[in-house]
Amino acid sequence: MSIIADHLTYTYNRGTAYEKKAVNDVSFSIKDGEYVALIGHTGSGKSTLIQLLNGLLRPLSGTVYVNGEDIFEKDYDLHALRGKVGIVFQYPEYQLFEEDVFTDVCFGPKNLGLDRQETELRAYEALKMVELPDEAFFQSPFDLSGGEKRRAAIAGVLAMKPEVLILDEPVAGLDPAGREWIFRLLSKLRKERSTTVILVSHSMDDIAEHAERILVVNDGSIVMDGAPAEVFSYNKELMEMGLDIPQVSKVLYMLKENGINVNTDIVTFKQAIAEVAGLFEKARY
Amino acid sequence: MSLINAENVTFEYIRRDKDGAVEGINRAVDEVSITLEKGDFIAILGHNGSGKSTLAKHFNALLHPLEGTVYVNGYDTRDEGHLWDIRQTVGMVFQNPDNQIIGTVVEEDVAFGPENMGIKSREIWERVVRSLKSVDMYEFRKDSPQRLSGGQKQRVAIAGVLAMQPQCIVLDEPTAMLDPQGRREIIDAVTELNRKEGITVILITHYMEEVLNANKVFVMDKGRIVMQGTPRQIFKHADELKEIGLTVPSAALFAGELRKRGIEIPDGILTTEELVKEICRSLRII
Repeated sequence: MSIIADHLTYTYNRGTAYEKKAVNDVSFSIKDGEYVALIGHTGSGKSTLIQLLNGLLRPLSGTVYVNGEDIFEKDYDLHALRGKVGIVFQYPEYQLFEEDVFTDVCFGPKNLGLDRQETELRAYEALKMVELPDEAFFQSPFDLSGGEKRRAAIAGVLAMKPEVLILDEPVAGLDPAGREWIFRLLSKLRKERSTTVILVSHSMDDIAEHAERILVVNDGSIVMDGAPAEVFSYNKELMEMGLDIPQVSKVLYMLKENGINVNTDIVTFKQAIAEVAGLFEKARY
Repeated sequence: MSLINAENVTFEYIRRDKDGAVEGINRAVDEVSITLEKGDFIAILGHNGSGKSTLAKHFNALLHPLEGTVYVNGYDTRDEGHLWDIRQTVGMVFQNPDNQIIGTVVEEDVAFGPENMGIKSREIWERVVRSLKSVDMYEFRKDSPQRLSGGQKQRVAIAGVLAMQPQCIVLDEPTAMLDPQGRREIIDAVTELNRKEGITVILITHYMEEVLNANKVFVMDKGRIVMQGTPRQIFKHADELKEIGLTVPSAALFAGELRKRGIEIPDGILTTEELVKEICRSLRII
């Protein structure tokens, strides 16, 4: 499923003293199956932007095309769109509300108007996908551990079988194993369902490892758009925007500053290890 | 006298069904003993649900131990008569700055704590100025907190705690919601408070890089303390940490991988600077 943002602009509290332009003339397109990361400092407009992408917010000007259709046209079925473009919000576990986990996960597909059998089948599949143990299905969501609650909440979105999955800081507050688990889930979704993934994250390391493309948002505008290696080569600019570069890039840049000839375009851990190990190979011969 | 002394602390969460009958018991903290001295900078690591936050809430009497005792400045936290002394000694900062800020102007928000303590107005303002200066937020004192970045809001939250002049601050994942710049600001501010003002710091985090300034790290698993030591001692145990859902700082991981490939890099590397230095040194001796 392709998404095109066409000159999107959004302003909060328009016409008041608190007026704030959150998204300012933003255009980009995301291809079917892409894995895109959205980065930017807090308040840069990322969260507003993703809410525009599935029609939760209506832009002041500009529009969004999903599969070539203008989602803000009068007759467009926004309700159905929200099943196709799913958003996992920050701390999604705060939105769990049903008496048991299974009913909670059924909420999304049920609202899409699916019959009971299909709803329950999807809920079951989604819960299996997030690897919640069967005995948790009929527990109160509030009795789950923090990590399990997050999984249950993500299952609630997956049960709608979104073709595009947008995640806003999905690993915030998770321990290292939990963070790794989320990224494994995203890989699985891409492989098994060809899901397009749009990831909002503050972790440059995670993005470098997983995303194919990075959009950098600053003060409501897209200021960079490219592959991780390209975007992370703008070390100084990213730091000035309150962002950072991956740890492995820092290692490579510092080696270069020490007069060692390394490829600083590398952003993933594995490649960086291979690059440094290669230096030793060369030095030995 | 130690600032905080926890002796064999056990705490259980009790799950009840709709009728109030006990459904299950979850032992969140299991016979933990821990002693903190004035001026310590300690960090607590552990996976989600390992008991870190539950333990930390015992340090300012938000929770009372089921078994065992917690002493803060010698007061038993169960002693209601000293509740305010305890809360004033140990302040807490949580994950989400938006949930901790109530004022509409930065300086008013910071004044809220001392105002509630019944402190005279002139002294309140002296404290507000001092607290905001120590987290480098003085120039924003007349601003609305809504207009600040995440890191700035969290620093205001810290100033709000500082204005109560605590001897110790507990920070429970203070950077979880922040961007890279915000995270740097908080870790720098906390380190500075500890080093310059001697404030005892207890930092709970899931980011291994953030504990490097601590003089002691405690690792929790299933409600127990399973490791303690300096960051350098703790992060030598990469495999054990991985088993309990944790990891080591990226530079240590990098060094370990190089060692596996037969490259001579010493044990105990924690920072990117150390790693680069050792790679350069090792390259030169070939």
